[in-house]
Amino acid sequence: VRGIAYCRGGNVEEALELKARYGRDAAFLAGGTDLVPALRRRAPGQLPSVVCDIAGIGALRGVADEGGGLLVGPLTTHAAIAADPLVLRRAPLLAQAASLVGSCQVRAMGTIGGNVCNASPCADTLPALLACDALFALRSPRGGRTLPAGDFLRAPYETALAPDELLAGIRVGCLPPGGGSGFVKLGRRSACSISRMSVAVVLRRGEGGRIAEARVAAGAVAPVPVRFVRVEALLAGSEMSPALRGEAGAALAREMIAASGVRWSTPYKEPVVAALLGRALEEAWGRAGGAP
Amino acid sequence: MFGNAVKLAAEEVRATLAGVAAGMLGARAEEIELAEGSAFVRGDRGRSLALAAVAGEASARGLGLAGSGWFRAPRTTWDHETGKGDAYFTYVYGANVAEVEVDTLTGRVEVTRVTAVHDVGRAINPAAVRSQVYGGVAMGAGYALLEEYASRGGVPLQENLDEYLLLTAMDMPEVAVGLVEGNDPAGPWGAKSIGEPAVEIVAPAIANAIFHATGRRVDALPASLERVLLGRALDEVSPPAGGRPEGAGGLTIPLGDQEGAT
Repeated sequence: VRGIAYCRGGNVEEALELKARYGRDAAFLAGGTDLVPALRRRAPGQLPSVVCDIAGIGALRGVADEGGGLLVGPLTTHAAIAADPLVLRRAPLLAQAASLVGSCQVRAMGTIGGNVCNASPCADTLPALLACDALFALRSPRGGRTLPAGDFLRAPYETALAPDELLAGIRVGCLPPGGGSGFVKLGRRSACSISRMSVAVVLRRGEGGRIAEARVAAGAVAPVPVRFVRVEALLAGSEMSPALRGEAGAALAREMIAASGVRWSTPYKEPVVAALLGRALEEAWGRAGGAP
Repeated sequence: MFGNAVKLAAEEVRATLAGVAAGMLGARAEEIELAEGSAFVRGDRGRSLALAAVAGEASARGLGLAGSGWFRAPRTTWDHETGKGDAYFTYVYGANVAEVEVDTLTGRVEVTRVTAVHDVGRAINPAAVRSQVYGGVAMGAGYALLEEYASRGGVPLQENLDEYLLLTAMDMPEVAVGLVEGNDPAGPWGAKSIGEPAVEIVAPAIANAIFHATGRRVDALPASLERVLLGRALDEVSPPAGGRPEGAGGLTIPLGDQEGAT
C-alpha cells in the first residue's frame, strides 16, 4: 500500500503520543487482518495516512485473573484466547467465539482488540463479549474511562473511541456458578467465513429447572451486535422447554426486524435467527447442567 | 489429443537418444531400451549407460534433444438437419455419488463424501489421475454450493476470492476415487481425458443428494443457504423493470418464450 506513513509505538505511552499527534489520520495496527485489506480496498481519500503499529506492546497482550472477571489484553490473538486455560474455564463463551473467527491463519494474527475496534456488524467476538458483560477500558493522554460493550459500539464500523484514545483492556465477566454458555455461528462455509448470523447466550440455572438469568446477544442481525433485553426478560424465571425456545426465537426475530426493518434478507433471517437462538439456548442450558 | 502429439514428439527424442546410446554401446539402435534412467541393450542389462551420460554425448555431438509432434484428431461428422453422424471419436463415462447433510433449519449443506468413478481409458499415471479427480470434486462442489459471479450494470460484484467463495480445506468432503480402465483407440497409449469430466459431474450429484435429503429440488446454482431453505435466492439488487422475477438469483435463466418455442 503506497503513500502511507508507518510508525511504531514501543509502549502504551508512545502509542498514545503518536495517536495524539496524528489523530484521525492515524490508525492503530495490531494483527492487521482487517486494517490491511481495508487499506488495499478503500479509496485514497478515506485512507488513514499514518499507520501506528502497536503489535509489539507486550503489556497489552495476555489474559489475567482479576478475581471477579478476566482482564484480556486487546493484543491477545484469537488463537491465544481460544486456547487459554483461564478463558476456557471462566469465560468459555469467549473462547468458543474466538475459535470460530476466520481461519487458523487469521486467528494466529488477528487480535480481540482489533475485532472489537473494527466494530463490524458481524464480528464474531462481539456477541460473546456482550453476553459476558464485557467492559472496555479506554486510555488517552487525557486519562482513562471505562465503557460497557453496549455503549462502545455506536454504528457499523463506528465506536465510541475518541481520535486520541486506545482500547487498553477488556474486562470479561466470568460464567456464574450454575451457569452455561452457548455460541452458534452460521456461515456459508466452514472456514474463512463471514458470519451470516451469530448468537451468544449465557444462562444461569435456578431452582426447579427454571432459568434464573439469561443474557442473549447476536451479531449480523442489527446494525451493531447488541443484547436483546426483551428476549432475556422472556427467558428469565421461565422453565426451559422446546416451547420456550420457540417463543424466545420468535421474540428475537421480532426484535431483529424492529432494529433493522424488513430488508431483502428478512425472509431468510427471520426463521433462521430463531432457530440459531434455539440451538444456542439448548447448548447453554445443557452446559449449565439443566435437563433438556 | 494433445497427448498424441506429445507422444510423437517424445518418440523423436527417444530415437535420437537410442541412436547415440547404440554407438556408445556398440549395438544397433533397434536393440536399445530406455528405462529407469538408463539406456541398455535389450536382453543384456550389463551393457548399460546412465541416461545422463547419453544426453551428455548427444549434446557434445551437437544433437538437439527436442522433438515436435503433430496429430490431427480423427474425423467427425455431424448433420445438423438430421441430427445424425459420428459427432465424437470417443466418449468419457463417469458416475458420482454425493452424500450430503442438510441443516433443514438454516439451509446449510455439507458434502460429507463423494464417490467418483471415471472411465479414463488407460491411467498412465494413476496418482495424477486421482489428483485430477480430487481437484474436480473441489471445483464441482464449489460450483454446487458457493461460487456465484454476479454483475451490476456490467460491473462484476465479486472482485476477489474473499467474495467469490471457494471451498476451503475444511469444507472438502472425503473423496473416494474409482478408475475404470480400458484401451481407447484414439488416445495416447489408450488414455482418455479426465480434467473436465471430473468437474462437470459433481454438482448434479450434489443437487440430487440435496433433493434426496429434503424432498425439494434446488433448480439453480449455487445451492446457497437461501435457495435450500426457501427454494429461491434473495437478491440485494432490485431487478430492472421487465427483468428477472422478484427473488430470482443472479444465475437463474427465466423460462421465457424462446425456450417454450423449441
